[in-house]
Amino acid sequence: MRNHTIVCGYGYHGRKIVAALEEAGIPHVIIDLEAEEERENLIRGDAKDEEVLLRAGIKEAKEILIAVSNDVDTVFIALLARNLNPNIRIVAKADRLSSMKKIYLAGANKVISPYVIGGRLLARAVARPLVAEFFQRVTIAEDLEVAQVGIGEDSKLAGKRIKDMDLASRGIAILAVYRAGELVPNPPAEFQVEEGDHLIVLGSSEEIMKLRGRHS
Amino acid sequence: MAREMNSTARDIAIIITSLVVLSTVSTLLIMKFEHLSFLEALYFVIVTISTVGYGDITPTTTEGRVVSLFLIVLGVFSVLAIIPVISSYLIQRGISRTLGIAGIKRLKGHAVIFRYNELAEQAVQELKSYRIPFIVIEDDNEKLRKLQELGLNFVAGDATDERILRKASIDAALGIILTSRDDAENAFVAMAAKELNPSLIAASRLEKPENSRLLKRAGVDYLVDPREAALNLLVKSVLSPYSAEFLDRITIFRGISLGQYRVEEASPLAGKSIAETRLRSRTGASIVAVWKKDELITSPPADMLLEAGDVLLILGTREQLKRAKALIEKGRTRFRIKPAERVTVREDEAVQIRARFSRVVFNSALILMLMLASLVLLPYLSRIFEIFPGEIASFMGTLVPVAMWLAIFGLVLKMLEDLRGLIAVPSSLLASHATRIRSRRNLRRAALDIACAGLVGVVFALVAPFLSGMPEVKTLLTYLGFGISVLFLYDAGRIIYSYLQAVADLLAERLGGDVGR
Repeated sequence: MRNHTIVCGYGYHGRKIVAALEEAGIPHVIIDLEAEEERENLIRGDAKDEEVLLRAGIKEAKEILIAVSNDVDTVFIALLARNLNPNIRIVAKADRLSSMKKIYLAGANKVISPYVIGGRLLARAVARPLVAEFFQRVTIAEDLEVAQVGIGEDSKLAGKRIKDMDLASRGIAILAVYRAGELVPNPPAEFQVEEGDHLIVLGSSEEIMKLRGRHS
Repeated sequence: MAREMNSTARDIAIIITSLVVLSTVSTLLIMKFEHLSFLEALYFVIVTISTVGYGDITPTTTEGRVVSLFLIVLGVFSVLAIIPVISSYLIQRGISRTLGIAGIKRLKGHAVIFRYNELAEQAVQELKSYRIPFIVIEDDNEKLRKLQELGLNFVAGDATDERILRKASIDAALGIILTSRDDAENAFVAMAAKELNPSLIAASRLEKPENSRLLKRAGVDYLVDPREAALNLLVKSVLSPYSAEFLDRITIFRGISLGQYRVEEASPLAGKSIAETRLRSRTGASIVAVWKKDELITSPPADMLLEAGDVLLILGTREQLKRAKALIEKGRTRFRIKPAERVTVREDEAVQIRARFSRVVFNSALILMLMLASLVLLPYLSRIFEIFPGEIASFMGTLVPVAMWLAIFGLVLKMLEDLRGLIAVPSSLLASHATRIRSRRNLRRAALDIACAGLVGVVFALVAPFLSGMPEVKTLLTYLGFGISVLFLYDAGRIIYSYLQAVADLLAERLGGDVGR
């Protein structure tokens, strides 16, 4: 397997991540020591063991998701993974707030903490109630979403300026553009989209699909 | 709390300043009348003012006794006045440390946080960035100790008790953030809080997803399941890493954020279409969505009319949002001003300048007159006083100059304030002519401050030779000049410090943002 995703931990978070990966058709391997059910792509073993990670194809993997319940293990797995594959993208969940920095130091690209997100969302609900409700609609309601649109080689959007894309009539707004890992917030109408850019758009799922379809 | 501390600090500052002025003036006078050295005179003044009164040095001349009378009456009162101010401050701090700060002061427009834990810690960070005051309700002793150490506002007690909620000024609160792990507890507190303040926004943690309906029924407006929220982000960061990164960034304000701004009745934007406001080109921020009553309109068309009461959701960097806010509230951005609007701004400030300028002229004339009077008229006055019997004559002879000096000092202080205002206004006027970053405008003010401090020094150096015959006046002027310079330099230092801090913040923001892949 190449360019696949490794999921460490098949618990509460792991299961839901795997379900999402399956739905999106992303190739993946699961590592878990105590999983109850048997699965074809499940490797029974301890992810802190180098052998197990190698068996999961870490050298060729695109990314690894660490969703184990112990932050000490998370740090160790991140260290191992970074050591085995310098280019892999490591996304990890942190249980305790104090471990976030350690996991970043261990080589993770993205650390997600329920406390950080939860706490910030709660505060925002009080401080900016309408922004909070807006996001609730965006994340929960099916018809509206914030999504990314990658500009590939064959995309018709490549080389076009934003004002020439006729997005307003379709209710789509370009909120930001990621170019070479840099965030360009609120790109001006004259902004010319290039191959390799990722557009962050807000709009109805249907229109966003069309936008994707039009250039793929 | 901050405001209270400020007023206490101001009281103390006023009393200390008057004490310093009083003891300086009386030391100089005692030196002269009693023929003592500076140190001896100062020693006498301090011993007298502090009510210790050893009595090893006693005034022997009539003038000296008159000064001592003033010193005792004014000085002892000032010292007595400062004691309750300081002790009440200390007592208040002691009470607020043990009972929580709201035990004493009422808050308004704040957030009440129920229970302090890792989730609450993050909520606190976020509230701070919105500059919304908050108060924590907690009954666990260990957590209370932590809150004390951090110096955060809190009420100690059980939040299910209405009295405790009242202590947290729940009736004037913006919202309540319920962070307990126990859903039942959150539901109960939400109900109690809503009963006391129906317009309150209740945001609650959800531990067990099956309890969400119960919590909603208890009056919770916004539910957050932290694990679910983290999971969503985890999944999103695999399926669409860029939009996950983007959403994460606007949630915790790294470089970019979404703000909500209400179009008030008085806003110049009310009645205009989005295109007419030129918000995009003037601020760089963009309107992502508009709430019209309860309806959400995303990606609003450019010809949509904005009405009073609409709430705009605007996406932008911190700077862009600041400008957008100014545009919505005042119809102008802080940086680029339309010519027509610039005139009104100027007129406003011109009136201010004129008022301040005339006050400064008037005050300096008064000061000059008083100084001339004290220098020229006093010898004649003392001769006139000689009509009275000896002691009354010397009493008047001392009283008049002391009163004059006090008046001059007060006037100089007032003039100083106006001068500072005068300097600040034109410098901001200069800056608003073109697109300049605000920090640069502030730096100009700092430069002006430093120049003024220098000017005071130069003036003093020019005047000093003429005063060689009057050492007391010279000493007094030295202190005065020194004080004025210090005020100017203080202002300059404050600005430079905040500028450096802004640069540091900017750097941290730049370095802080990392993007996967």
